[in-house]
Amino acid sequence: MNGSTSTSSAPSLRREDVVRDIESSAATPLALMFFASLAWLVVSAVFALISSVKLHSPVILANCEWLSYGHTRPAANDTFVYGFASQAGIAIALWMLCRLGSVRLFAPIGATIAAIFWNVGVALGTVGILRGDTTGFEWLEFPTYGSAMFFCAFLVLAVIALVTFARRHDRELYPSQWYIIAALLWFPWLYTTARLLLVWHPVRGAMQFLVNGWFASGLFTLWLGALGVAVLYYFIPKLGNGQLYSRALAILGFWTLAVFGPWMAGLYHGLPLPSWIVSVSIAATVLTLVPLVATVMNLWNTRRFPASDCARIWFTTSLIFFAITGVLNVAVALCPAVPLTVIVEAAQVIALYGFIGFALFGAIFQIVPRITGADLTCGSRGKLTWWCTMLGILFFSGALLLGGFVQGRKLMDGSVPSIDIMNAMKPFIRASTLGLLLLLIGNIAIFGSVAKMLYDCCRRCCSCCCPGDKQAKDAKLKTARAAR
Amino acid sequence: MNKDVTNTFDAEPKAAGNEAHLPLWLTGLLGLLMYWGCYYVDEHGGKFDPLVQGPYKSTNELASVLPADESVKLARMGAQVYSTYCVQCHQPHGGGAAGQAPPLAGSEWVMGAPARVARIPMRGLIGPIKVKGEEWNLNMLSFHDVLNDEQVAAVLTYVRNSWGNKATPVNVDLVKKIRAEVANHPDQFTAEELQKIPDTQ
Amino acid sequence: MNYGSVIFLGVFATFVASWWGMIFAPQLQLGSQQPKVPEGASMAYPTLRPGVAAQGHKVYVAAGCVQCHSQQVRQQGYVFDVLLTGTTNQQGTAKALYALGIKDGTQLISSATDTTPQPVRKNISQAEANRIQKTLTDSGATAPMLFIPIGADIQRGWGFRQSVAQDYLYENPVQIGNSRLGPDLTNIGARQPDAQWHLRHLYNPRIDIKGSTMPAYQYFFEKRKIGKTPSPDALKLPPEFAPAAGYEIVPKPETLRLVAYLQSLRTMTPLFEAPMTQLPQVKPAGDTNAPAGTNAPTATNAPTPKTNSPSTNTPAK
Repeated sequence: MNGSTSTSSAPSLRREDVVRDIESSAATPLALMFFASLAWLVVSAVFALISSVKLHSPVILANCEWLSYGHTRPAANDTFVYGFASQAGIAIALWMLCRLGSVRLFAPIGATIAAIFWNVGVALGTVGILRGDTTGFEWLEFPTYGSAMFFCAFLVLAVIALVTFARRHDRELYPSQWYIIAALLWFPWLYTTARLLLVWHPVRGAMQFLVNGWFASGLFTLWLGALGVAVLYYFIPKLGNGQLYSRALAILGFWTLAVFGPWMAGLYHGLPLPSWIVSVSIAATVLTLVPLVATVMNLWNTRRFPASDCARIWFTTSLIFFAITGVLNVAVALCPAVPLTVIVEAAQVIALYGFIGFALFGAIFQIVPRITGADLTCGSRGKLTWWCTMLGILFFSGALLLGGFVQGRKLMDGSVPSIDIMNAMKPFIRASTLGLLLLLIGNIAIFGSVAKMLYDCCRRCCSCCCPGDKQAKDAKLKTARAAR
Repeated sequence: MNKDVTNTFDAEPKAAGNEAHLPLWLTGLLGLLMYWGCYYVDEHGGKFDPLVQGPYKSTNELASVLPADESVKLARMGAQVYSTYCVQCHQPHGGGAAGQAPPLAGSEWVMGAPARVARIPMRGLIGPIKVKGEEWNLNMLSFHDVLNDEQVAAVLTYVRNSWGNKATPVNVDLVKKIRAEVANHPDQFTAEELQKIPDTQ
Repeated sequence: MNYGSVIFLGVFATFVASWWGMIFAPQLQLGSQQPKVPEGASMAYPTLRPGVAAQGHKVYVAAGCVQCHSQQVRQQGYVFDVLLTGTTNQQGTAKALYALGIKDGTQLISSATDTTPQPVRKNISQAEANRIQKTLTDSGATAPMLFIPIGADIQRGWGFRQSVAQDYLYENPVQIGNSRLGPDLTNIGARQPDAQWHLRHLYNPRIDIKGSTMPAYQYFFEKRKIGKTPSPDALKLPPEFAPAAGYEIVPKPETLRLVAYLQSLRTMTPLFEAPMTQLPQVKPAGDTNAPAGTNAPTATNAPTPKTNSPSTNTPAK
C-alpha cells in the first residue's frame, strides 16, 4: 500500500499507522453520528411499540393527542429512516470512502457540525409530526422546518464524502464506492423532487401519489438499499479472504439496478392512476430481480471462504433478508391481494431491520471498536442485539405475513364486513407487538454497547477518542520520563 | 488467523477481474425479463392512454360499456352527423333560420310518423310547407347518396329527441325499408306527398 | 468503472431517463387534467369541497388518519344485466323469453315498463348480454343492458365504481393511503351521512361498532360542566358511555370541520373512465337538461352490503 498520506516523518510507514491515521481523522464525526443514530433507533422502536400496542388495545394513551396512532406511526418510520438508517449509513459510507481511498476524511469538523444539525433537523421534524404539522405523505412527513435543516446537513455531508472520494489515493474503484457515489446522487434528487412536487409546489391529485410512491421506492432501493449493499460488498470479502467473487457480476448488478431501480414506484393494479404507469412500475419491480440475483450470488459465493462467523453473521443474515425483500417487493407488485394489507408493513420491517439493520449493526460493531480503541474481539458483544433483532423480525414479520394473508383474502371477499377483518387481525397484531418489544430490547442493547465503548474511550483520553492520539500521548510520556 | 473482526491492517477488499464468473443464464434471465416487461406493459398499459385505469383494457372497451341501448348509441352518432351535415342550415339549436331552413325543435313534421320524416333527408324537400304555423318555401337537397341508412336513422333519432322534442327513435331497418320504397322516386318530395303518408307508419 | 465520472454520468443518465418516464411524462398527462362535465350532467366534476370540509381535510391530514384508512375503491371487473322495458310484439317476445329459459314470459312482459324494467338475465358477460339483447330486440322488445361494476370493495358497499385520477383532482395532499387497517373512506359520506354518528364514532368507536380497534379520539372533544342549559352541540351518548351527571361532551370546532369533510366524501358521478350502474334511458347527448341515468344511486339509495341492486328502481333479486 502506498503510504503517502501520513504526516509522520518516519522513512517507511507501516500500514497500521496509515490506517490509524485515516481512521482518527474520521473518528469524531463518526462517533457522534453513531451515537445519535442509535439513540434515534431506540426512539423509533419506542414509537413503533406504542403504535403496535394501540392497534389491539386502543384505549391505552387514548387521550394524548401527540401519541395517537396517526402520529406515532409516521414518527417511528421517519426517525428510523432519517434518524438512524440514513445517518449511520452515511457515517459508514464516509468511513468506507476513507478506507477504500486510503485518504483522510475531508473537513471532519464540518462533518461534525453537519451531524449536529442533522440531528436537530430530525428532532424538529419528529416533534412536528407529533404536533400534527405532518405533510401527509408517507416517508416525507417531516414539516419543512425540520426537513430543510436535515437536508442541508445531508448536502454538507454528501459534499464532504464526494470531496474525500475525489482526493483518494487508491484510484482503483471497488463496488462499494460505486454504490456510495450513486446513492449520494440518487437521494438528493429523489428528496428534492419529492419535496418540491408534493409540498412546495404540489402537483395535482393522483400525481402526488405517484411521486410519493416513486420517492418511497427510491428511498428503500436506491438510497438505503445502495448503502446496505455497499456495506455488504465491503465487509463480506474483508471478513473472508479479501477477494470478491466476481467483478463482472458486481458491474452487472450495479448497472441493472441503476437502469431499472428508479422506475419502481411501488404501484399495484387498482390504483387510481393510468394503467400504463402502474404497469411500468410493476415491470421494473420484476426486473430488479436481476440485480438482486446478481448481488446475492456474488456475495454468497464470496462468503464461502472460511471465516469466523462471529462478525460475519451480521452480514450473512443481512444478505438473506436482502433476498427476501426483493421477492416480497415483487409479490406486493404482482399479487392483487397483497397491497393495502399488513404484508406491506412486514416487508418494510424485513427490509429496514433485516437487510439494512443487520448490515448497519454489523458495520457499527466493526467500526466503533476501532475508532474508540475498544477491544476488537467479538466476544458476547452484539449477541443480545443479534438474537433480539432476529427473533423480533421473525415474530413481527412472520405474524404480519400470516395476518396479511388472512386480511388479504378477506378484503378480496366482498361478503366479509370490515369489522370481521379487523377482528381476524387482532391475534396477529398482538404477536407482532411481541416482535417489536424484542426489537426494542435489541436496539437498547446495541445503543448501550456503543455508548459504553464511546464512554470508555472518552474517559481514557478526555478530548478525543482516537487510540492513535493515546499512543502518541503515551509515547510522549515515555520520552518525557526517559528524558528526566 | 483469527478473522473475528476485520483486522485493522488487512488490505481493503479487492474485486479481482481474473475470472468473470458471470453465468450465462443470468444474462439470459435479464433478456427474458426484459421481454416479459415489454409484453406486460403492452398488455396492461392501455396504449398509454391516461383514461385507461383499473380493470379496463382500452378506451374502446370503456366506450363499449357506456350505458346506452341502441337508441342512445344512435343518438350519439346522430349528434355527430347533425353537426357535420345539418347544422349549417338548421342551426345548432335546431331553430332553423329565415331563408335557410325551417326549425326542427318543436316541429310536428319531425315528431310525426317516422316514415314521413325519414323521406325528407332521403330525397330532399321542395316547395311550400307549413312548420309550426309558419309558411316556408325553400329547397332542401337530397342526402340519398351522402348518408347511409345508419346515419339517417341516427340523425333522425337525435333530432327527434333534442331541444325539447320527444319521440321514438328511428330504427335502421325502417330507414332501409324507406330507402327501398323511394328508390324510384325522383329527388325532392313535396309537402303534399309527405302528408299522404299515414301517421301509423 | 474505475472513474468516478463514468459512474456519475451513467447514474445521472439512467436516473434522468426514469425521471422523464415516471415523473415528467405522467405529469404531462395527469397534470393537465381539468374538471370535466360528464355526459348528460350539467356540472363539472369534481367540485371543490365547501370551505368547512376543506378545513376538515387539513384536520384529517394532521391527525394521520391515512395510516389506517385508504381512500381508493378498487374494482375487479364488470358484468351486465339484460332488462326488459317493453315490447311491441308480445307473442314474439314471449317466444324469445321462452328460448332464454323464462317459461312464463307474459307475466314478465306485462310488468315491464320504462320505470319498472324487469330483469331477463343477470350477471353475464358483455358478449352474452349483447347476444341476448339482439335476440330480444329482434323480437320487437326494448331490452336495455345494465352495466354493473363488480369488485370486493363495491360488494362491501365501499363504493359504486372504481376510483380514478379525476376524483382526486382537487385533493391536496391526496390521502389515497396504503393501509386498510380500517375501512376505506372514499364514500363514507354516502354510507354514513349522519354527523352525530361520526361524532360518536370519533369520541369512542366502540359505541356503534363493537370490537373496533380504532383509537378513541377524545382529545377532539371537550368535557365540560353543563351550564344553565345543555349545549345544542353536546353528544347524545348511550348511558354506559355518557359522562358523569352534570357533564356534557362537546365537540371542538376542528372536530366539526373533520366531520364535515367526512360527510363530503363520496364519488358517485359516473365518468367515462369509471362507468357506473345507471338505468339506460333514451337521453341523447344533446339534451343537457336531464342527467343521463336519473336513477343513479343517491345517498338514500346506497346499496346495502351483500346485494348487487344498484338502486331502488331495479327489482330486488
